[in-house]
Amino acid sequence: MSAFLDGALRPRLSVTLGVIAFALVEIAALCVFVTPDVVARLEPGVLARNVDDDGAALTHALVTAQREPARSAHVALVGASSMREAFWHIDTLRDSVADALEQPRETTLGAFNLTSGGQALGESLVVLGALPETPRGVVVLGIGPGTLFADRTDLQTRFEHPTSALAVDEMNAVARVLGMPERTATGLYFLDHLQFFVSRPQVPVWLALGAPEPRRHRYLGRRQWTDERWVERVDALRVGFEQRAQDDALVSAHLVALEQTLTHLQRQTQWRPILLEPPLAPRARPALTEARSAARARVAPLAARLGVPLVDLDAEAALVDEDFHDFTHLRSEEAMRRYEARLAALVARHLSEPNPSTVRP
Amino acid sequence: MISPRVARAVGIALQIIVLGQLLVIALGGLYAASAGARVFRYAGF
Repeated sequence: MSAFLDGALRPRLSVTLGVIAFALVEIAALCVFVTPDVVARLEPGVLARNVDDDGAALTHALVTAQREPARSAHVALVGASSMREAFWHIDTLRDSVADALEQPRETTLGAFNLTSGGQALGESLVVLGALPETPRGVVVLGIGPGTLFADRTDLQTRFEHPTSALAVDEMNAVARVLGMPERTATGLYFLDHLQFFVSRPQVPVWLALGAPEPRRHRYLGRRQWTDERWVERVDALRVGFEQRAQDDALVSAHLVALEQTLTHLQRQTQWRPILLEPPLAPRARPALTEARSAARARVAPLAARLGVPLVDLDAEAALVDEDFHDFTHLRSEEAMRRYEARLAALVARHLSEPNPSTVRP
Repeated sequence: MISPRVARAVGIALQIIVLGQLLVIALGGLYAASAGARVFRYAGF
């Protein structure tokens, strides 16, 4: 026993060299063995720093989607937290779409939830560009003043310090259009996303003990904003949107990047894009209608030119103030299911129509 | 009965693995801090 303790506790030059060698070998092994294939085989929560780590959830959802077995059709939802909270579950949405199309569930229709809290429009476009091949698909992108009117400094931080491991080349392609910083691609997945992985040192613990299930909704069951909160927040939101809308160069760059991505989807894939304005509480409309109209005025001409639907489902889903926690996030399962039903009907309608971009005269 | 030589070697190996792992975690933490790596945290509205 004393010999063991002597070996385990006494400092030695050989131990120092051994520790350095061990660390180098482990880092080399991480560079070689951490690949998208490996990440796709992990449980969804293993990469997550905590149950609300949407960056990890998006990373896992995308690499999993890219490795899904072939199906005859797909649906994908992309956008920020307002989109994430607008539907109950990607599987129930898929089932509703399959039922509307009178197709068997699961076996024919694949569905991907690629929403994440705080997802910038630039990140959404990278996700759209990384969608897997499909014989027929509908992808719904949530877009409104919250994402079109971005804060330049915040966006710069998102490109410099991404919270999800999206492909560096695709990130750089969008960054070039938006005038955002680019990163160096090494071709090694672990090194390309080093910031993402070193921010999540708990991975070995989750692997050993089992990872907690990621939380799907953040606002479920939460109370509505109080009157004081409304007064305090809605005006600040309005002012924020108006200020960010003044950055015409960035808004225009977003529209250029959006057009490139939508055109790519239409011409080179079988994905049919739909632009969806996220839910907006009736109570927030007086203050935020101007911002929403300003965003719509910029997006609608582009959507019309490309033949991409720009849709607002709030009225169809009969959303009322009681359905919302705040100005945009739904707070009850019932409201989410109601909105999801309208969303499923929209997706089913577009899935059942021939894609105009692929119809040849 | 394990010989003292083997017991010492096992002890050294254990020390290398534990300290090596701690070194990797520390290097990762230092890099994350210096690069400003971020994990999005829900802040609420």
